[in-house]
Amino acid sequence: MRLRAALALVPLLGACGPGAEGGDAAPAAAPAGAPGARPTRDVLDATLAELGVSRRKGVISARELRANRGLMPGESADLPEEGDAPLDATSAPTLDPAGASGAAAEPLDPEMVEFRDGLVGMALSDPRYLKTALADVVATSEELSPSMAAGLRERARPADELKVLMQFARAAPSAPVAAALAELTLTHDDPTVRAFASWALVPAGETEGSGAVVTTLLRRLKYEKDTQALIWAARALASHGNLSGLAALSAIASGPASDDAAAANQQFYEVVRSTVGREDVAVEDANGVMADWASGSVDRPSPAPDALRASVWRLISDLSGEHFQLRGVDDARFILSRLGPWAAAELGAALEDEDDYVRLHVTQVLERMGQRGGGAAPSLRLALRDQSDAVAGAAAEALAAVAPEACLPALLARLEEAPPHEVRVAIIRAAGRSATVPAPLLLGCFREAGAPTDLRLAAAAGLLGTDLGTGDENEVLNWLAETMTRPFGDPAGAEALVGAWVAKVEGSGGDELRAAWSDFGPKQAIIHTADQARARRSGRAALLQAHLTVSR
Amino acid sequence: MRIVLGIIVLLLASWFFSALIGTPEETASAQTPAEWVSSEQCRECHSQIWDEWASSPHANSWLNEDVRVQSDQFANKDCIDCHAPRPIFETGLGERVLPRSARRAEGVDCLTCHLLPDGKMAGKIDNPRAACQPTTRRELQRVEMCSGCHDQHKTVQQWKATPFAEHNEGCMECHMPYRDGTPKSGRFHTMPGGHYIEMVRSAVTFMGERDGAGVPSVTIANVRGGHSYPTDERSRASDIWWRPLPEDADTLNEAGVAAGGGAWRHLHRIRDPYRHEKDIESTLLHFGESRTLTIEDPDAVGGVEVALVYKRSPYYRDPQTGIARKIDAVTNPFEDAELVHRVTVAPR
Repeated sequence: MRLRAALALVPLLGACGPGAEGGDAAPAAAPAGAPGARPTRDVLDATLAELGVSRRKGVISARELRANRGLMPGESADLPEEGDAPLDATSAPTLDPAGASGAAAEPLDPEMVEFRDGLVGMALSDPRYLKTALADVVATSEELSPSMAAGLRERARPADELKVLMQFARAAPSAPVAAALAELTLTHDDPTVRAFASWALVPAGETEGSGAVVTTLLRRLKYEKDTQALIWAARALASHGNLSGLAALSAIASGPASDDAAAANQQFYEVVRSTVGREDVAVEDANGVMADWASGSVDRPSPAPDALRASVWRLISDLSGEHFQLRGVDDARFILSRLGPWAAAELGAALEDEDDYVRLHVTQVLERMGQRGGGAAPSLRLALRDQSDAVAGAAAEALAAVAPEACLPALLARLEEAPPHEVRVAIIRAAGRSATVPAPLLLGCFREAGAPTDLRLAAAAGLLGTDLGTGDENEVLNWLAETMTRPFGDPAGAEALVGAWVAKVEGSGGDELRAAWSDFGPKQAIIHTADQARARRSGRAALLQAHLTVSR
Repeated sequence: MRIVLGIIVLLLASWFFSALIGTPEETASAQTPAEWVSSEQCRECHSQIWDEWASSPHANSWLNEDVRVQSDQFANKDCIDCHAPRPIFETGLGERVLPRSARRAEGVDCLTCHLLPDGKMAGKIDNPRAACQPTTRRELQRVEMCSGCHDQHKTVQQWKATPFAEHNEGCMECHMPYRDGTPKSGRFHTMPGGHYIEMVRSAVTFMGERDGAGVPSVTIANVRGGHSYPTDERSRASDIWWRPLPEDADTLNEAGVAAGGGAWRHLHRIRDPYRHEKDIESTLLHFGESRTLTIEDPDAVGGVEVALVYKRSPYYRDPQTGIARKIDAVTNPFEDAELVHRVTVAPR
């Protein structure tokens, strides 16, 4: 494999190495876009229209800001440059399940409202009546569903009534009730209510149309600070075919012994049993399930319902340049990157959208998905030639993440086209993550005359992962040691690379090197000042150089 | 022959005059680089500006230890958008910034603000003879140059509500003043802000008094902030601490407060909470606002010493372990904060 890759490299040696820069190469301003850059179109609005939903309004609208521009000396701040669009005062992000449907709520049947409240009162009056009430709820679930959902949305309803309603909801799951429960997990101030709501959502995983709760639960996963609420959000996610919460369950279960740790461990293994389809499971099964989720081998048992697709496309619209504030973008990146493999197709489609922001952030999402995003690899290969250098560079890194084994030919082919510096750096960084990257290619970049630090550092990262000869490795490490002591360039990046190398160094002196390296580091949670950081890097650089001198 | 001589003289004269007009900066690098790949390329001709920038927080936005720890060495890539943004003229003035893949270690660099999509540089004047081919772009003075990042915390929105906006006194007036007070020598590129305690001190006044009933109080006023004090969500905070006036109140220690003395007690915090801190109220001090805080405590009957401190993180770390402490466990705020102003209130 390595030989084949090396042979494939022959025509590429000009892409990195002597002669790759300068001469009559690039003009001062390299034209944007690559050869054959594919056209873009309004994928986002077209898909939102198909799914019957609208874009979410941002808290701060970019359009509003554009309209309120000016403010240069001599200009009036009152004169908008574009059409004035009033900022919607009620434009806080709406909840995914409810907001995505766009359907007008139908009036409730007063009899069912009375019936619902009667059952709640009955169950509260004496716990022995709960079983009877639950039986009534199950028997009338279809008719009762709208009133149940409305009841869960009544903000003034006391927590004890909500908890009874949530027990009803768990017994008789339906799509509207699931949406209302998801809202509670996201918005209720009481963590026990949030935990209860997630608990009630567990059986809803089997219910048609309830899939949209996944995006809401993922949002909760980002912000939830209460351990019980987090455990049940992770469990509810798993019941809806999303295993993103397993890592959180595992972390809580591995913590100090406590009721929370025990609960997390129990739910963790419930998910493992359900996923592997048998009761007798061991740690290896758990690790296997986690690995399968990461690699994209575990997916939804059925196609994503339109409600879930709608909430996903609303999140994609949150990435748009029309949202000024990054916080919504950060949330969308977080949620989208934790979706299952099925979402790769939707994200791949969004890579054709005309909005640079959407395309760039979607590549970032895919990079974070890793191999779960493998289904978008063909779209990412095309995006290597995106008209925006930013997108093309990010696509290179995403491609290496989603298809680490198969990314190299496409990356090398793009490199052959002498892309702009930024894209080149990103490709080298991405190629360096591939186990089959040809070392001569990276060495060519590393040794290129006048190569900027970022390019050499990208090449060095890959080189330290290949089977380099001692002489070549010493050359790279000595340069990194020198870079660590420079005031400019990327001393911190060089330190991080060497740190990763030190962690793995074998042979004589490895343990001593690691101990001495660690001695220079900050103690406990201390954060070094800039001066301390410089001293740390200088000390570590000298340590590395001494190690290289003695051991080689 | 005369015609030829005349042409030679004319050519020599034009060369002579162009050499006179041209600045050393222009002649230092006659050839435009093939591609702008690093702000280090700017250093050769613009060393003074480069040196100013290199010592600024903008240059340190990628290397800052605090940021690197909080972002897990930028494994949290959400931080890259503002800490290594693409050129502003590429993404658009006032638009949300986008992250770049190259030269990230240079942080918010020369190219971020000056590189134009056509490969030329935005500058004060047109000069096609210079290596970087500066093109006059008056937008360089606009607040939108800064807003892509800084309005993420609504700083520009806060500024728009002040008289500074009415008078077109934008970010540059305070954060990029002219070196000698006139446009002739250009603007400082250190861009002082919250990392410069003198600038923080100039933003607010702090006064103490004792009312008729003998209760001491302090009043803080945002008189020159130009935006809210402090202008940031989550990270920045300003706290007011007090303690009974120590006996040795005339001798100040290196923190700028009375040497000796007892433990400090927390009185008030000025901060905008992060979006998930729903149980915390925003207490930002808006421009033009003053806030009076009384110290109703039996120990405040005698003289009191009150300190206003500024923080670039919302918590106080233990100096030995670096671990964040609850605010009521802090007795010496100066271990992890800088003094802005100090007042003493005489005994009743």
